[in-house]
Amino acid sequence: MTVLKITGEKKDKDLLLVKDLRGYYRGIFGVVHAVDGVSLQVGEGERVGVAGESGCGKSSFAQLITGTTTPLLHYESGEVRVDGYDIWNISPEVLRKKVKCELISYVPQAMLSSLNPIKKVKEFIADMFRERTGCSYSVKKVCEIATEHFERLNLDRSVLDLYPYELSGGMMQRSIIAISTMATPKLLITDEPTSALDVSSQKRVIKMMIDIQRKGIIKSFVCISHDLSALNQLCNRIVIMYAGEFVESGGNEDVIKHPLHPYTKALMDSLLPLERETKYKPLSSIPGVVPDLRNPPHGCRFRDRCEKRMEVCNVEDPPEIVKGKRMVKCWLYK
Amino acid sequence: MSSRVTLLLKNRKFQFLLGIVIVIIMLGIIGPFFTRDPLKIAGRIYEPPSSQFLLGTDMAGRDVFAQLCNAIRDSLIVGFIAGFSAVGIAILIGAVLAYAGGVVDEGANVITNVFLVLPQLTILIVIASLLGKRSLIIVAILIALFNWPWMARSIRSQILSLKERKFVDLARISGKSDFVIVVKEILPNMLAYIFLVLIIGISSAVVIESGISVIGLGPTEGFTLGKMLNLVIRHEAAQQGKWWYFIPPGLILVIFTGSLLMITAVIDNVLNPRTREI
Amino acid sequence: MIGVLILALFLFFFPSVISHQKSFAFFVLAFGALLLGPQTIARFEETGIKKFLALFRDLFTRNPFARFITRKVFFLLLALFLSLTLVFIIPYLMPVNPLDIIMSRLAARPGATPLQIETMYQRYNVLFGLDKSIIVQYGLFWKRVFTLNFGVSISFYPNTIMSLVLYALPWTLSLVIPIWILTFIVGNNLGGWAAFSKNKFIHTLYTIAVCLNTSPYYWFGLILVYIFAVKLRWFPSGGAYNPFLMVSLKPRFLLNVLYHYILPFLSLFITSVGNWCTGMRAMTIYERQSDYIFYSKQLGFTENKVRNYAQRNAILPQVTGLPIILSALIGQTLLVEYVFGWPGLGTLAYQAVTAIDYPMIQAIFLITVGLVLFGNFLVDIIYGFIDPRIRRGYVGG
Repeated sequence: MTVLKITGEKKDKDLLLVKDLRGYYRGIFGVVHAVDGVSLQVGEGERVGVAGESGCGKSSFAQLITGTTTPLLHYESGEVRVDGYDIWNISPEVLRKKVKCELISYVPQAMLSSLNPIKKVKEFIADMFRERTGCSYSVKKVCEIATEHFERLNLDRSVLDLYPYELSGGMMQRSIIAISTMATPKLLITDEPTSALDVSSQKRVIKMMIDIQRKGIIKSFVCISHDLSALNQLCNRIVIMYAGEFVESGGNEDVIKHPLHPYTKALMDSLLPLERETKYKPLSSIPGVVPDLRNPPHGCRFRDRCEKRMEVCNVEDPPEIVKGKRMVKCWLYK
Repeated sequence: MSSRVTLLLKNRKFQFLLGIVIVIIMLGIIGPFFTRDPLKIAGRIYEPPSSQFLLGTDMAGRDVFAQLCNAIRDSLIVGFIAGFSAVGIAILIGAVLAYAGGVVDEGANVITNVFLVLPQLTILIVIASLLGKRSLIIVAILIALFNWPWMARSIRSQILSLKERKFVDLARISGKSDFVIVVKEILPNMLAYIFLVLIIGISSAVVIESGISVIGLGPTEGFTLGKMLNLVIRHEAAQQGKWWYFIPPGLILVIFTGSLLMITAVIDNVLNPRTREI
Repeated sequence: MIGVLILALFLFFFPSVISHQKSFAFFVLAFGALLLGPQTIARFEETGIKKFLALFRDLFTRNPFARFITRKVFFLLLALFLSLTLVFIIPYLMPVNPLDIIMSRLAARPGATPLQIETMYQRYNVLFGLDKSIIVQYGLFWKRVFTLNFGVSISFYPNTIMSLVLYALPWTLSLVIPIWILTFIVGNNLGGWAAFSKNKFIHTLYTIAVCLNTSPYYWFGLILVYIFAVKLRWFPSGGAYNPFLMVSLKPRFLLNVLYHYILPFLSLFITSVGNWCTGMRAMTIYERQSDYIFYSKQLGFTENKVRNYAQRNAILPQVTGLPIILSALIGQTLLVEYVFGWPGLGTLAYQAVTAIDYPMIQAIFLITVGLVLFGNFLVDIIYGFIDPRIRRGYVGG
C-alpha cells in the first residue's frame, strides 16, 4: 500500500464519500465482482440505509468502507474518504489510529462468535479501551464507564459480567452496538442489525439505534439490511443495491412510496402490506435469478428480469440520473 | 474421484515425495539381491566409505551399505504388516462401534481413552521382554495392537458423519443390510481417509519398531534399522566418531517418515478444499 | 492445602523420614482433602457424619465443576485399575509359564548350579504365590501395589526394587517435566507466530522443527553426541555426573550434573518442539478467520493484540494433547537415557530387560503408568480452570 497522505487532509463536510468503489472476491472459484462501481455521500446527521436482496454485495460494501475486509475480498479501485481520510491509501497505522479508533465503528451481524469467547464482556471492553487509547485502564474503571453508557442506552448492566456464550441473540446485538459506540465514533456502520433476531428484539434494536443518534452519541450511520420495513423506521435515506451496483437512492418516503427503478418497484410489490385483501392476492415475486457476478453481463444487470426491458438495456450500462436528492440508474429515465 | 487422483499425481510436491519413498522402498526390496552378504566379514574394521564399500564397514568389518539395505527391508516388512493389520482391525471395530451406539459405544470410548493415554513404548517393553522368540510378524502384530485404538476412533467418527448423509439413507430405504451399506457405500467414500490413516500407521510403526529394537527388545530374527542402531549404541559408534555407521539408519528413518508425513499433508491439501490456505 | 500435598510428595522420596506406605497413605488423604476443600472439613467437625454425607452428595451433584472433577477422578481410578490389571494378566496370557521362561534363562547363564535354580524357583513361588489360585494371586498383586513392596531386585541384589526405582525416578523426571512444559510453550508460540507473520526466519525455524520431529529422538541424540562431544568436545558424551565426584547437593556437584544434562535435554527438546507446531499453526489459522477476530480488527485492535486473542483461543484444544505427548515423551525419554547413560528409569529398564528381572520391569511399568495417568488427570483439571466455559458448567460448543 502506498503511503500517500500520512496525516490526511480534511476536504469536505461529508463524513463518508465513496466514489466508484470496486471490490472483488478472488479465489479458486474465479473473480466475483461483488461491488462494481458504487458512489455514495453521507453527510453529518444523515441516516442512510442500503437495501437489497442477499448476495447483492451489501456486506461486501460495508467491509470495503471500513478498511478491513474478510480474507478473500480485495479492494480494487475507487475512492473511499472518511472525514477526509482516504482509507485505502494511508498507512495501516494511521488507518487504525485515526479512522478506526476515532471515526468509524462497525457493528457486525450478531453471530454468537463476534465477541472473544474466553473473555467476559467487561474484560473485552477493557481490552478495547487499552487498544484504542493506548493507556491502561483497570477493569473496575472500565466497568464504571461501560455501565454509564449501557444504562444510557437502556441495556442491563449485568451483561458486563457474563461470558459471550451466556448472552441471547438480542442481548448480544445490542451489547455489540453499545460497545461499538462507546468511543463515540462519528459514523456507525451496521451490517444486518435486525436479521438474526425475533420481532421484539428487533424493535428494541431499532429503538436503540434511533436513540443513539438522537442523543448525539454518533453523528450519522449507514445501515445495511434486507429488511425494508426496519430501514423505513431507521433511516431518512435509502439506497437500493442490486448485483453490485446502486440502482436507486433517495429519501425513504420517496423511494418506498414512489419507486422509480423497475427493481425497486418489484421489491415494493413483493412486500406484504397488512390489508384485508392480502389473503386473496397471490404473492408477487421477481422472475429469474441474480446474474452470476463472475461474468457480469454488459448493459443493465437487471435486464433479464425486467418487464420494461428495451434494446439499449442489453448493450450499454445505464447512466446514473440524478435529480435533486434522488438518483436512479435506468434507461427509462433518460 | 479419479479426477482428484490425477490432480494429486500431477502435483509436483507429491511426485517428489513419492519418488523419495519409492527409492527407499526399492533399496529395501532390490538392495539385498545386489549387495554382499551383510553378515560376512568383507573388509577391515571401521573402514570409512570408499568405492568398494559405499558406506564403509562396521566394527567387525562387515559392509554397512548391505546391512542398511537388509535393515530397510525388514523394517519395512514390520511397518507394512503392522500398518495394514492395525488399519484392518480399526475399520472392523470402528464400523461396529459406529453402528452399535449406546452403552457399547460409550464403554469402548472410555477404554480407547485409557489406551491412548498409556505409554505405548513401556507396555511394549513389558510384553516383549516376556516373549522368547519374536519373529518379525509377531513384533508387527504387537505394534498393531497398540496402534489400532486411535485409528479406530478416527474411522469411527468418519463413519458416523457419513452415516447421516443422504446416500446412506437411500441405501437403507432400499432394504440393504447395514453390513452391505458399510462395505459398498460408506467405505468407498472414505478411501482417501483410510489411505491417510494407513500411511501414518506405517510410518509410526516403523519408528516404534526401531524404538523397541534399540534397547534389544525387537525381533529376534531378522535385521531391522532399530537393530542396527542397537549395535551402534552398544559399540559406542557415535562416541568413536564413526559417522558412516550411525548416521545412515536414522537418516533413512527420518527421510522415510518425514516424506510420508508430508505426503499426507499434500493429500489433505489437494483433496480437501476447505483446508486450503487462503 | 497444596502445601500439605507438596510436603507429602517430598516426604515420599525420603524413606528415612517416614516409611513408604505411610507417606503414600498420607498423600492420598491429603489429595482427597484438597478435593473436598477446607470448608467441608470444617463443617464435618461441626455437624457430624450424616450431614457430612449429605453435604458430600450435594457437593458432587450440584456444582458443575465438582461434577467435572469427579468424572476425571473416576477416569483416573478406572484407568489405573485397567492398566495394572493388564500388567498383571500379561504373563498369564503367554502360552508358556513365565516363571519357566525366567528360570530357563537363568539356567542358561554361566555358573548356575541346579541348586541355585531350585531355590530361586521356590522363592519366586512363595513371593508371587504361584502355587495358589489365580484369584489369590490377583489379591496379592494388589496388596503389593498398595504397600509398594515389590521385593528384591534380581539384578541388583540385595537392593529392593522400590529403592532402585525411587533413585532413578528423579533423574527421569528432571528430563521429562521441564521438556514437557518448555516444548509446549515454545512449540505453540512458534506455531502461532508462523501462522501470523510472514517473517522468513520464523518460517524456517518452524519447518526445521517439524522435520526434526519425525526423527527418532535418540538418534538425534547420537548426532548431538557426535558433533558436540566427539568433534567439538564441548560437552561430555554420557553419564549424569563425573563418577569421581561425591553425590551431594553442593553447587559443584549440581553444576557438573547440569553440564551433563545439556546434551540429553537438547536432543529431547529440539526434536519434540515440532510436536506442537503443526497443530498450533493450523488452529491459529482457523481462529484467524473467526468473527471475533474480524470484529476486534474493526474496532481498531493492534496486530499484536489480535494475534494474542487468536493464540489464546487456539491453545485450548492444544492443551488436550498434553497427556498424550506426556506418555510419548516418557517412552522417548527412556530411550534417550539409554543412549546417554543417564541414570534414570530408562537405563534401569534396560538393565532389567537384559537380566530378565521381571518384577523390576513390572515396577517400572507401574511407576511410568502412574506418572502418565496422574499427568493426564492434572491436565484435565487445569483445562477445567482455564476454559471458562467448563467452569460455568457449559458442556456444549
